Amino acid sequence: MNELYFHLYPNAFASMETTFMKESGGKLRNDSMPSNGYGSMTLKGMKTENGLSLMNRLEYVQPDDGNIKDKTLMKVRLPRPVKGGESITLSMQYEVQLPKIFARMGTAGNFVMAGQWFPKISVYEPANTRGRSTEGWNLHQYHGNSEFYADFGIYSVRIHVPKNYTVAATGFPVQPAQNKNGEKVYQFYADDVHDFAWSASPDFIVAEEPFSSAEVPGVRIKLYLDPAHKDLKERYFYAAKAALKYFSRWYGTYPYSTLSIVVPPEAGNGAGGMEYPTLVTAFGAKDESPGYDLERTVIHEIGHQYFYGMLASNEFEEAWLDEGFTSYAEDKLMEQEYGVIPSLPVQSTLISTPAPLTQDAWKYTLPNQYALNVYYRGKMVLKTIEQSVGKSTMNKIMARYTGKYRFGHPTTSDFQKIVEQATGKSWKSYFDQYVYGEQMADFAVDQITVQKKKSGSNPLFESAITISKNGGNYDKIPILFTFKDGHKLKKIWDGSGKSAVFKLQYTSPLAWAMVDPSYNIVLDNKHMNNYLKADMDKDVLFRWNESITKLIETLLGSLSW
Amino acid sequence: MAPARAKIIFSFVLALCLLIAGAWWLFFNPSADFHSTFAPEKAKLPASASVPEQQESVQEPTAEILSKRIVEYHIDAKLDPTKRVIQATQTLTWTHPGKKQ
Repeated sequence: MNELYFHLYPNAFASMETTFMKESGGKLRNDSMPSNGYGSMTLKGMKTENGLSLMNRLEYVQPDDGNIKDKTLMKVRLPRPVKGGESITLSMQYEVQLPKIFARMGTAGNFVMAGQWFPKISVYEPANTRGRSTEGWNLHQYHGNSEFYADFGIYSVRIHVPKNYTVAATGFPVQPAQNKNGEKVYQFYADDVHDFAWSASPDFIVAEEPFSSAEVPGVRIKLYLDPAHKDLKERYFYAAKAALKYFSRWYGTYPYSTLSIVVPPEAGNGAGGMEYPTLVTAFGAKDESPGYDLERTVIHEIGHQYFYGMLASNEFEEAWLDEGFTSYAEDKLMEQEYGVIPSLPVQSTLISTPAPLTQDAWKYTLPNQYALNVYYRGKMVLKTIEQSVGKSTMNKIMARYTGKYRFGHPTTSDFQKIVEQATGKSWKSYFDQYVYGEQMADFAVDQITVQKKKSGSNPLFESAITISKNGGNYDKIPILFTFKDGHKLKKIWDGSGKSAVFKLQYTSPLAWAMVDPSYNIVLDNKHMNNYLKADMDKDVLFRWNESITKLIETLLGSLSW
Repeated sequence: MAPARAKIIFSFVLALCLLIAGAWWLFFNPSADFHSTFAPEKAKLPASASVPEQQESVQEPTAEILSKRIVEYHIDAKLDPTKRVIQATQTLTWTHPGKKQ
């Protein structure tokens, strides 16, 4: 093999013409690029061990979109080939002009977040990696909606900063920071990780606590706080400990000796809520008394130590394996530790543009489509499996998946196989519809007709109710029928066929019918047609009001996000 | 990465509020009081851990190898915060994990 590829991620911020900037419009989440906030990476030298310069053997490549203004992926033609099993050593010299933070990396005032800051070699996949039949490079540019993919290894990183700065980093320092020549020098080391990030600021308030539990042999939790959150240490520590303890119990021991939490300043919020191996960032510290988002973010990013960190899936191609799984784990722990129950009926209603979960991250192009599919729909797909197989089997599925693919690069079909092994049946139809496909569930009460069968003192009415399936399949669909005298009747539809007609004979006419009255069908994103009154099918606006009222009544039972 | 929850949720809340006129918020749970229950009290740092030059713990690599280590980076990086610049040198050793010659 005679070529290597490197990700030069900082070049995403080099101009408005890069693929990242064109796709994102200079905005990520709710953070926009500050003026004059451009950043880039300049490679100043690249040599082999023999001292041969490779600078005239470099070429920027754009396999995803052919945008020649994009310099986030670079090919190096080697002077002689590297054979399978052989190693090659290259030395590089480079300069990173840090962007102003809006998308993960850069500076905000004194605060520096160095993530994706060094030339990182791409992943070369041997045959059978992630289902590929022949070996080769996995190559993608940096996109507005995409994160990363890398191989495991060792990082030994020395960082020089002004002497009033504190540095937080992946891994741990192997010696105390040294002050020399007017600067402070840190020496960090990390192994069995696939990335290295660091953050620096003269303003950090630092705290450190040891933690161990039956599942965690011993971790030093390090907190690097923006001063605005100096009084919130306990909340960060508590959330981190809960996450380490329970994620270790559910998904396998946290094997690293440190976990660092960086809390950026408000202006650095774009660097917040981000995962790196053994280092996570919380949201920007703007509020002295934030809500549960503080804990939720810390727990989410620590969840990524599994779904991203140890289960190093390809985030370019199957982002849901990181974000959907982490969101599922986050919800579970938020409920257990803080009693915060997600309002899945509201969240599913937001999913207006469902798309396959296995599509490339940058192909979710509609507003919020990436987040709503990869995080929310992905999580709901898992929640639906949990409802179908039961919590105990689901726990086994997650334990097997995280056990088998620890320090690997799992795919969606690897997960599907685990589900099938654990349940002893095929899940092809479910995965085809909801994971590889773009289905949501949608069950509706379509029509109600009432006929008077008998008049007089013993009247009899026949009510015919049409229930239809407008989306994907689902096994057992509960329906609630309520008659005008208040009598209620529950039935289950097996969901076979496109629709079903229920004929009910009773002394009173039907007042209304509702499919899935408790909103248990997590993947149903159109709740407005769940409910129909016997005499209102023509009045669409009225139906909406009534349906929203029903939805709100349900939500108020367990109100939280 | 955490999603932009606030915006997505906010837009939906606004829509709902048209119908239920704000009564919504009354139903949020009052925030709970948190106490760490895991670390022994004596192991905790004092609340005034904001001492500027707190000594960071130092550790050593262990012999255990958990992953297939394909890459090894040695990096020396220098931050110039006034210019927003990192100057760095790195040595990368990469091991070809496949069979292709």
